[in-house]
Amino acid sequence: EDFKTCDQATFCKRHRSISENTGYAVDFSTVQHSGAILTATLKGPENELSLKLTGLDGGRVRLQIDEPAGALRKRFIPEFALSGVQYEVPFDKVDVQSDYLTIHCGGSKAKVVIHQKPFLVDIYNGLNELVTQVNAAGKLKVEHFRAKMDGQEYPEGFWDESFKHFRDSKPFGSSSVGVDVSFVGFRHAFGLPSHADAFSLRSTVNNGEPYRLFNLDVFEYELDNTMALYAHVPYIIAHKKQRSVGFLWLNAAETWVDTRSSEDSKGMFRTMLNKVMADESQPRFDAHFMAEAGLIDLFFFVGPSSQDVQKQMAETSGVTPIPPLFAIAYHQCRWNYNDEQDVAQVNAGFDEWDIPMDVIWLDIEHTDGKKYFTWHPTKFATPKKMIEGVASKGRKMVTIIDPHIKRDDSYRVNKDAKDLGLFVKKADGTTDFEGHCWPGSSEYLDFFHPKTREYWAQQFAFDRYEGSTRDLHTWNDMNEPSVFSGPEVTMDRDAIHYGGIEHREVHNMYGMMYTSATYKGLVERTAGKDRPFLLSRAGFIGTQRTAAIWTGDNTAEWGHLRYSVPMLLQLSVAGIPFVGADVGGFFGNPDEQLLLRWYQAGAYQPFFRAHAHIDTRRREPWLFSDETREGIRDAIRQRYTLLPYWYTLFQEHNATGMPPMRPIFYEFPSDEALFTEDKAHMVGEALLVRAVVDKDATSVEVTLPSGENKDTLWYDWESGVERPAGLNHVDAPLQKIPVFQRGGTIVPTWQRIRRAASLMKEDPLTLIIALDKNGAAKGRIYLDDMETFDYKNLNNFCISEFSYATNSPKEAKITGKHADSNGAFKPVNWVERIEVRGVPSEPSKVISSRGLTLPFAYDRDARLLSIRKPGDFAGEDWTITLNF
Amino acid sequence: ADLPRGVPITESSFYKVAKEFKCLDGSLKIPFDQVNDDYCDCPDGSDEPGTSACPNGRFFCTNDGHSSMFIPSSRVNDKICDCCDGSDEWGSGVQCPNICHELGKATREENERKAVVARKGWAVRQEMARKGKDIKTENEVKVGPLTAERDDLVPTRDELEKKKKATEEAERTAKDEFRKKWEDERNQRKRVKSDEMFTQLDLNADGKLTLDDFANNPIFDVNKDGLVDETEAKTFLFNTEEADKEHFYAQMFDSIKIRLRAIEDEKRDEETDRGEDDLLADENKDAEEVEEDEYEETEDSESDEDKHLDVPPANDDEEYGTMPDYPEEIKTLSSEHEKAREEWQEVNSKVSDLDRQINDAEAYLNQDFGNDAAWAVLKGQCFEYNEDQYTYKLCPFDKAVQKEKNGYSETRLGDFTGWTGKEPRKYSEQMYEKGQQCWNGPQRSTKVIIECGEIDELVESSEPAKCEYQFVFRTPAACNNPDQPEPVHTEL
Repeated sequence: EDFKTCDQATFCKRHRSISENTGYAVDFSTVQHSGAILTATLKGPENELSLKLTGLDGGRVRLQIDEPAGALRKRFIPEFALSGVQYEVPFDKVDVQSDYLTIHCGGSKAKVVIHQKPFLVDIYNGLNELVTQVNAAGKLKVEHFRAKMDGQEYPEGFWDESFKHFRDSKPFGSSSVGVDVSFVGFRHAFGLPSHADAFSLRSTVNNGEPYRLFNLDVFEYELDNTMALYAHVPYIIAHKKQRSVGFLWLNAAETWVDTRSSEDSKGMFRTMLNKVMADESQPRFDAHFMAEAGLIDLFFFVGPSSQDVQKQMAETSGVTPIPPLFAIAYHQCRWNYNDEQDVAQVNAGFDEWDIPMDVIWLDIEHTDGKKYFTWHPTKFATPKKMIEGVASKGRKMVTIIDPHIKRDDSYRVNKDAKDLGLFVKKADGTTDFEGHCWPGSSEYLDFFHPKTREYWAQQFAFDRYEGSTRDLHTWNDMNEPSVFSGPEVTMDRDAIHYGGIEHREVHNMYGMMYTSATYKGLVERTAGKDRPFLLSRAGFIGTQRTAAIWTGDNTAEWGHLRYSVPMLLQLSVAGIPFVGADVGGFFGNPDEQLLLRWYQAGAYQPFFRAHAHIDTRRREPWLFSDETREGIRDAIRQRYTLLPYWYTLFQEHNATGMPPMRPIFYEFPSDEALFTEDKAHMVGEALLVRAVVDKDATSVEVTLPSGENKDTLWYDWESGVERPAGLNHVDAPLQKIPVFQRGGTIVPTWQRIRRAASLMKEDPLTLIIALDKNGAAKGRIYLDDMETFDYKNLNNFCISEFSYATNSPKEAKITGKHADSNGAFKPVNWVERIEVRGVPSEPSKVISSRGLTLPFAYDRDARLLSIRKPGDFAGEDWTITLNF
Repeated sequence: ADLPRGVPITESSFYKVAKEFKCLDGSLKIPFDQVNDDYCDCPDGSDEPGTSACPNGRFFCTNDGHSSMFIPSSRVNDKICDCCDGSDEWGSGVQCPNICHELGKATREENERKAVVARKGWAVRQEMARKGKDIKTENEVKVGPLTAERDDLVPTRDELEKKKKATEEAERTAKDEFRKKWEDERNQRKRVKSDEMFTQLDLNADGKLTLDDFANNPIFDVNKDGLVDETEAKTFLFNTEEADKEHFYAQMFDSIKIRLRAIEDEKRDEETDRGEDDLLADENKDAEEVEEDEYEETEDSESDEDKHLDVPPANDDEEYGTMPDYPEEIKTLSSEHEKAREEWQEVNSKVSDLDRQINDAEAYLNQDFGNDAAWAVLKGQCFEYNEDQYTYKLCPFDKAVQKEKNGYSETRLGDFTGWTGKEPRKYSEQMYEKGQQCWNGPQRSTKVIIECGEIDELVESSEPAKCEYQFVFRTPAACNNPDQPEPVHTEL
């Protein structure tokens, strides 16, 4: 009701109703190619378009369709969303046939076939398998810029459009674009975050609303719904047995995607498939992308594995810098902690109850009248002292900073921005855009203006942001942007940004531009020394380079807990790995069972923060029964135990793009029954988590994948006892989190849980080894100072690899190996204990790398071996020998 | 001196240097050199009192000069000074100064200060207890005589109530009779008038009023179209084709009278309007106005025609007169009733007042004012605390209130529901609940934390969660005998 349906967005209605091929053909006489680029002209009944194909490195292809040179207006390309230079690789060869072109991309990583008439593009992976098609259903449509002429007939809403009492003046008319993209041979596709919907994309064709991608501040969002939320990445990854393929729609305007999974080609996307595909019963996943403005700018990632696709996406849109350790620990937030005394009491409460906690957050009420960078004069009169008090226990603080600027001449930021002309303008291009938000009447900074980004970054300097210290980090909220008085609670589409760009062209990336300016400020305040932490609500392609995001204002209901898993998986596969959902649910009051189960789920999700609305009851863990408090404490402690593993996973992400929280099919690409799994997920390659997300459940069903060769072994994470692959009914009383370790893995842990993660950095490690069928396992650890950029600037890091190998029935060896000689960091962490799971018999002797006999304990029934105090350092080479 | 690190002297016997160490829970024996070797062997954590190796271990700080204490093992060598003697950071490289003497001194001073307060408070509390007992006794003593007095009065009251009812009844009967008689007379007069009008309307004098009689009579032309159509006529005939005198009197007379009065009013209004129009008259008096004038003339001629109909007075009272005063004998009955009512009321309010006093007294007797009744003194008093914007008020055993400083409105933050302190410190906390509903939220409530103080004062107010308030109230009534140890708080 508050938000548009496709029918209420006239461009969506027009594109969605296309039923015939729009009739474009390639004019072969215009085809030109050189190096990594091929261009041609497309001719259609409506207009002429220019096509550009670019070969990129690492199995990536970019295809752009634009108006030809001389168009009335230049279309916006969100280059800022990309990670920087996109390296081109010259084509190996271009073959021109009578009615099609074949382009062999560099290094035989991909192949593209362009059919002349009707226009159709086939994308092949490096194994020469057809994986993706463009315009197979002929839905290509580009509404070209034109001058409005009297007497001319235009489609509904072409020059002016209204929703509720809001009018969009559309001075340049409609300039929407759309095309269909199909994943051939794929039944399942994923991504298009963020929607409170299943992980596996549904079919929306003839079945409700298309997926909507338009960053909005949605009050109390609904589940099982394709409606738009706060953050969107127009990206799809399709997966079938052993193969994945990715697709990115680089467009920052409002986008709708109509989807359909079908068994054969005779559905809505009726095409010339017959010609290219003999097997008609092949499944396919069709996606019709429709955007209000911008370019048709398509990136194809041909895989062939999920890991490859993830890397290809990472090369395109970038990765998350390794977070400082505290950021992946537990965060305590509430709207609002009332005053400095309240903060001190919460800080002390965690110590009193011996519950680890790393960050205390302050929401909007900490400011003086919602003027960001200020403090409430009486409630937060001595912020520096307050932050130092929290930091004295090894903890950090976060304050909220939003992009709406209170309209108040006495507010420095407002005055500066006004003087420097840094605000977004109204449709007239000169008057500052004004809207209502938390402070009342506000103006909105234009982060597309380079001077705004510069100015904004400067505000985070310690001498500018009074009361801030290096222990204070930042939360960017309301950056969709949220405008209480605007259409759909956001900015008018005809508002004007720097360079005369209309808001409609850049809407979905406003929040990303904002966080990147904030991030710059946070980096610069310590001259590039400290790694900052930044949380954002809005998100887009590339947000991951500067911020973590969360799923926005959820509700204290079981359904919202349940949907946190698919929602975070959507974001993870789409390249945003540092994600979480408010533990406990933002709106409403969770009962103790729901709260506890939420903590348990959150402990195994990347961003782990409890948060609550101002109207809810207080929720600090010690306000509940002993049982609930102990359960919460235990869940948080489990998180802290695994921090070395999480930290290593974030480094892995940084290097390869792989998200720490990942769908099961990423690790088990052949277990088809688990492709659509919505309740279980992997943390890294070693742990499978099946949190309890249903009320009163005391056991859960979980299918442990058996792997390609049907020989994967599994162990209960807590007890180390083996679990069979396949369907398991697992006992899950209130205190239990069902987590399983995959055979063949080694997980580094910290067993000395202290009150904050920063105090554990130098603590000894316990390695948890789970053996596979061959009595082997491997794992790794990444270590550095966990707080500065020295790992990058000074190569101050250390990577070690661990392995367990059964060489003969008489001997096995456990080794640690310093794995990257570029790393200069010398960890002080020593290995205090090694636990081995699935050891078939008791060793006769365990000998350390220094030739000492190590004491050990063996549990014959559970087949667990525990080796006492090996004492080797994480960064050194060592071998422990087990004799049997 | 040989005590392993982190062990209190009281446990020294368990940590005597020997070949083996037995975990304190008896579960395991380990070589003694594994005590404090930075590896956790005992399930109860007892082998690592001085390191951070055991998740469930504890470290003892001697803290000479201050209170010694245990801290969790996880705080050993975590680079944060927890023990005031600095002993917990023996190996982290952090230099923790020994501040036990300063802290101890400060704590002793603080304790002394508190002790002074407690002593003074305790003295006051004993005074309060004495007063409280008096209040209780007073009320206890009151209840008996009050009840007796009440019970004495009740028969008199009941007797007077009977008398009051009897005189009331007599008065009403007489008045009703008188009124009915008068109304009968009045109706007869009205019937005469009705018959007169009937005759006037019965144009053809056939003793019946029919549609024909109406058709020619302009007073029934309600819509002023110059015609009396059937609908208009039937409106007045009240659903009959022809009316005799009986039907006319019963159904039609009143509405025709109203109609006639309405026509009269209209005429008067038109005359006034015309006067105003004259005032407004100016250069261009147009055709419309001329037409209007013509219309009015027509109407005038119509009203000329119905001159034979008497226009009734503006109301019935004017036409038939008002009821005369009650005669003297009835007036006598009225004053007798009034006297009886006053007599009853006087006694009845005495009884009610006694009931209230009994209730109040019983409330004192039933309320929990502590073992020594010291809290009783606070009932009926209120205490205020001023903050930036609001004044908070606590009336113990009654209510908690928030007042806007520059306004008059009070927000009720809850009514007293009971003591909620955890045993054995029951009297350290009170709850006030079911206050004003919050917008979009729960009903307001207030928790009152009670501390020992020299005088009664409200010293803090806060709102830890929306609409859940917390006060801190100090009173001598919460001071315990400083010469007796305080009850131990079992929670922590």
